[in-house]
Amino acid sequence: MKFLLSSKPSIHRRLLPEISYYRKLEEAGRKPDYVAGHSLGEYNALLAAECFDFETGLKLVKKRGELMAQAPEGRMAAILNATKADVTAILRDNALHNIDVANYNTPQQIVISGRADEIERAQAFFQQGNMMYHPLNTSGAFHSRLMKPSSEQFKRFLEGFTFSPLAIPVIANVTARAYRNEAVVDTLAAQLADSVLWCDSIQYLMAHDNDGEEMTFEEIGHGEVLTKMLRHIPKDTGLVIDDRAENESRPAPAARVQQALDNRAPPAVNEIVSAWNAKYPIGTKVRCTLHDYDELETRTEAIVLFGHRAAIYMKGYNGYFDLNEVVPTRA
Amino acid sequence: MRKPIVFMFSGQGSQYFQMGRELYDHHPRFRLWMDHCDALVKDATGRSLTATLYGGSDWTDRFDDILLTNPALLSIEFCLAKLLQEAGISPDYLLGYSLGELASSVVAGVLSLEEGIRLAVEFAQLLTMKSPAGGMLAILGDEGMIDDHPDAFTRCSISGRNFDTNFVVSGLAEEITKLQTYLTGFGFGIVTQRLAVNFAFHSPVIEPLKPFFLQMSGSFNYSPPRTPMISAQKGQEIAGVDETHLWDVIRQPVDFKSTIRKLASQQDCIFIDIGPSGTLSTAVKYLLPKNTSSIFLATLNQFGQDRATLEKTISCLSGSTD
Repeated sequence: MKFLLSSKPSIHRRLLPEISYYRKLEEAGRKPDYVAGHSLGEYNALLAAECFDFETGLKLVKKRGELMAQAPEGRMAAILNATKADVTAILRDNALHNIDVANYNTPQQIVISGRADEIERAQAFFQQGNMMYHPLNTSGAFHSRLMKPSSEQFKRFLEGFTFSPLAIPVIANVTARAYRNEAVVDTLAAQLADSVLWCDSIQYLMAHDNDGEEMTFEEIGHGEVLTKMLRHIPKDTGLVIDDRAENESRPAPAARVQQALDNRAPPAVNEIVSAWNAKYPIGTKVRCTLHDYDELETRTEAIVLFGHRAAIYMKGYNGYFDLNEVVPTRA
Repeated sequence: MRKPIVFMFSGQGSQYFQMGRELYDHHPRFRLWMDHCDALVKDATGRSLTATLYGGSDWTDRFDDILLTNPALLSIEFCLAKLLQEAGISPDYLLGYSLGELASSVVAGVLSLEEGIRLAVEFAQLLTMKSPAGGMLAILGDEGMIDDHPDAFTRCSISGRNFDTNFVVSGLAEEITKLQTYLTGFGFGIVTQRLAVNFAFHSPVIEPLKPFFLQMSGSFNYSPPRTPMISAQKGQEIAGVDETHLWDVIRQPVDFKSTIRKLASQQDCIFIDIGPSGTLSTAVKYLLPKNTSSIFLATLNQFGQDRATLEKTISCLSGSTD
């Protein structure tokens, strides 16, 4: 049996899931093969791996909380039913330049984080089609560039501690790979401002069942948020696990996923969009071939949405129209 | 200066089968959010909310199974609030009436939608296990009638004050039945309406549930509200929500009457009923002073035309939200 510690305690509960962990250890009679924790939960994972003692853990978590609270005001929101490629395309196409992807939780659940005004403005763009926008009640823009100064200060604080070699591999949020003993300080500090690559972390663990035994996951602590997420994370069959290469630096998996998606985008879409823009100015009267709308008039240039869709916005209408479904009316 | 927008969330008794049906069938965003809620309710109860709500064809059956009415009300109010917010209408205040305080807590971000649904369900389970059968009766008339019929009211208590000629009483089921028979059966000409609620909310009858409720609801994490919240139980704006406040909401009477009067006397507002029946906007209509510039709107009602009602509300407000 293999199992995973993946606790996500609230800020109040801090390291309490530790107790459930020891109970779980007793029941299982053996240590888990891997541990991982989501955001703050990563501290519980490191604690379970004997990276530091309970008292040190509390000190780290306390300082981390204080530094995060000092960061400039910001907000976070969960976006459902949009892939990472969709989210990044929408942010880019709508000039939401001060928002970062904070959590990559499942292929359909992304959390964005950034300046409060932009997170609020983003809502309008994430309520098209099946996409859902959920504002989160966090006190700041965690895992975003607004946390950079806090992350740097935290690094200096972490340098004052000595960490023990890990007794169990801990999967790090920022790399979706096992922690390296010599990089504990850097990895923990980076976590404040970098994306939580949760989906990649789980897929990486799932790929370890090559001996025919399925990876078993167990959630420790309050609630079952992470267990529910698991149901939405498919196994990545293309993932090759080479544990020897673990210590070498390589691009983060999220970057590789992004690359693959970018490569997939058919170039034809860009051509359709440029051809339209060259020919038809904003304010062109059009007709929709799918539904009967009165007098449509374009209010934007055509754009590429989600990396693959040619879209255009109309006066008086909120959502985008598929460029393939509109034709200019003869004036 | 534009008027502040107040989203009002109604409580138990405002639910009915088929509520939101037209929107569910024709409004893709409403359907999307309802299906999202449905999945969460299924997780918490093992039952499908939408199958129960929209499965049958009878609009008139009494929808009073608290295990579903609790999450159903929260879900429908959450979805209606989402629809308005997606149309660009953002509330300046969230006002909760009884169980509506749970919906307003979720819209304010105090609890996540998932937690809110779980709390609604766990509370309903607690009621079914621990509470005696109760009832609630809405009475059309002045609350002064209690003095005229003191013996009839002794075993019931006032649980809600809606407007001058509309109040609600709660008590054990048999007492409520007796009171209704008395008020309507002796030629007093008093109109009453038994609510689709089988518990004596806001009355001493549910007092024994207190320790169980506090223990259950104490295990949730309450965040500070993102949007200012007004409690119709406290009669004013509240700084936050925790299990103690939620207990007061359930146990103490609701004073919608003074809450609205106080608010409307401080400033002219746009009151929007986010409940399925439009009961709160009707109450506001009777509560606003003459020559007021406050307005009241509904989003749904029991008489169909959901899309038209919603569109009217949205078009009425577009332009007033900048």
